[in-house]
Amino acid sequence: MLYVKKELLQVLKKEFKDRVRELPVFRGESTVEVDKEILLPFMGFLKHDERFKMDMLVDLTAVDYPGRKPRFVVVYHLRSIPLKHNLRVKCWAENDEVPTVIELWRAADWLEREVYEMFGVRFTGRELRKLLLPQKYPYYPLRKDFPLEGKETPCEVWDWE
Amino acid sequence: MEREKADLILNMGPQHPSTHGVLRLVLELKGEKIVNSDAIIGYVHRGVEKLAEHRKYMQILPVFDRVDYVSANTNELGFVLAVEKLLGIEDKIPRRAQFLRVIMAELTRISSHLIWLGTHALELGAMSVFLYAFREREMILDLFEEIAGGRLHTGYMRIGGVAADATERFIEELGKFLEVFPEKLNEYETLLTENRIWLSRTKGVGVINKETAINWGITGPTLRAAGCDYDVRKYYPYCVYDELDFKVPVYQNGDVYDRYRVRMDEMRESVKIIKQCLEKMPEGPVQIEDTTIILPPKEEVYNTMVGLIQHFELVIHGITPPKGEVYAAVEGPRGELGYYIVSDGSNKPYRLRIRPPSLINIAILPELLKGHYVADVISIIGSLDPLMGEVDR
Repeated sequence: MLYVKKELLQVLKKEFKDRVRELPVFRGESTVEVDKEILLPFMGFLKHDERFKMDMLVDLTAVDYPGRKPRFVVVYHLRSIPLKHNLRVKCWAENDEVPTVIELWRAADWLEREVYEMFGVRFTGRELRKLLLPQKYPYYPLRKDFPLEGKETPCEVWDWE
Repeated sequence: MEREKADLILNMGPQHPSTHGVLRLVLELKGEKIVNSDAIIGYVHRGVEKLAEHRKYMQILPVFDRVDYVSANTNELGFVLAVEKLLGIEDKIPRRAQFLRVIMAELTRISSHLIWLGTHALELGAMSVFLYAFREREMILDLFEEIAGGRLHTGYMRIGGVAADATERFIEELGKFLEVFPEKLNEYETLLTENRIWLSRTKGVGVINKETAINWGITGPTLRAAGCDYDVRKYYPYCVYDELDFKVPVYQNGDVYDRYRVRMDEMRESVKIIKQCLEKMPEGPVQIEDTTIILPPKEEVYNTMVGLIQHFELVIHGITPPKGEVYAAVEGPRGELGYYIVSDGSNKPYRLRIRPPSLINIAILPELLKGHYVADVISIIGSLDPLMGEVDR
């Protein structure tokens, strides 16, 4: 898979200074880490800039690191169909909150809902409902402290909307 | 935006026969027209991503067979490629195994498209296509049984190769299948392509244009019907796709009919690909020789001490890839099937994310259904070809 070239990553650094950090390249895949405050302008830049043209949000997910603060990192996989390159963007969710990117890519609609129900990361600036789980389900199952076999305590989950 | 007022709220599914599984739609109707709708999913959520975090890399494979249960081989292939990328052994996979992988992936594409064709036509009232499509699918399942032992959940891919070499009978039967199948495809087309009822049910229905499709992250035949030539096999070739000569069918209108055309053409291309694979496939081993990645051959395990120890070591400790993160994708029958693995250096993935093409493709449904008639709902859902096992995971 083709990833964004090194020169282009320098462009990002020039544009956003130290708010964007380049993570080590592993197996040819480039990743950048970006501060939550500039996530939206940063994503907008990636989408609209002529050198990037990231017009597709391939995937949006999160990873849980218990014991670390902030605990969750939201991972965006971006792709440019015309330029064929990819980039992974990571954003740490301070206070378990991240701004939504739904205005840029509608694909984020269901993906953000899924991350919300599985990890409890809230995406600000949009309406959030659970996607796969019952609306009243009180736990976040993909968190590391959620046991594989589930919780024993019964809970009222069915909502029969 | 102001919500248009509805006269009637209609619940469709989750046990509706034409929602391709357990998809529930809540349709707000004004007369026969849909003014608003909501899709409710999650009825077959099995927590596959959570399960994967608790299993060794080798143990995950059979679980992923069941994610998209009609195209097990492409699911396995995507996962296997991701783990191989993580291990850094992509170049060491024997060439014969690569060709066998491509053959199996393309056969899977044909069988999945055949199910789609059969059920989609059945939903729109063309019963006979269903019977024909399943007749040919049976031939593919027999082929799977011959080479892998399983018909639906083949378990054929291995990290570092494939489970078994192709038998002579497999090659022979595959040749026969490739000979008869293109004619059968023409036969299906005589039933549908110029059928007036089919045309009026599909043409101009459920139009998604190119920009919208890309913005919604749609991939696979649905995107290609909208005029974008994105196909993982061409954009980021894996296995031996870069050595094979095939076209990516692209249509411009983005309606239900064009999605049908794309899938029909794809089946023809798949036949072409498999034919080339059979010609080009070299003799040789089908598994990597590194026994820290793949189990040693059974003769060695039973007859030598070293073999037994290696077998034991691998089963107990599993594969331990280095610390890092990779994303690998294959072109599944429904679109880009991606695997994002976060490894912490242990024998189990720290986080494993499946990028499910079905989920992302049907996310557009509530938006797309607006303004359509109830009867079109069936044709639109069918044309997006969602598989609920994959949507819910």
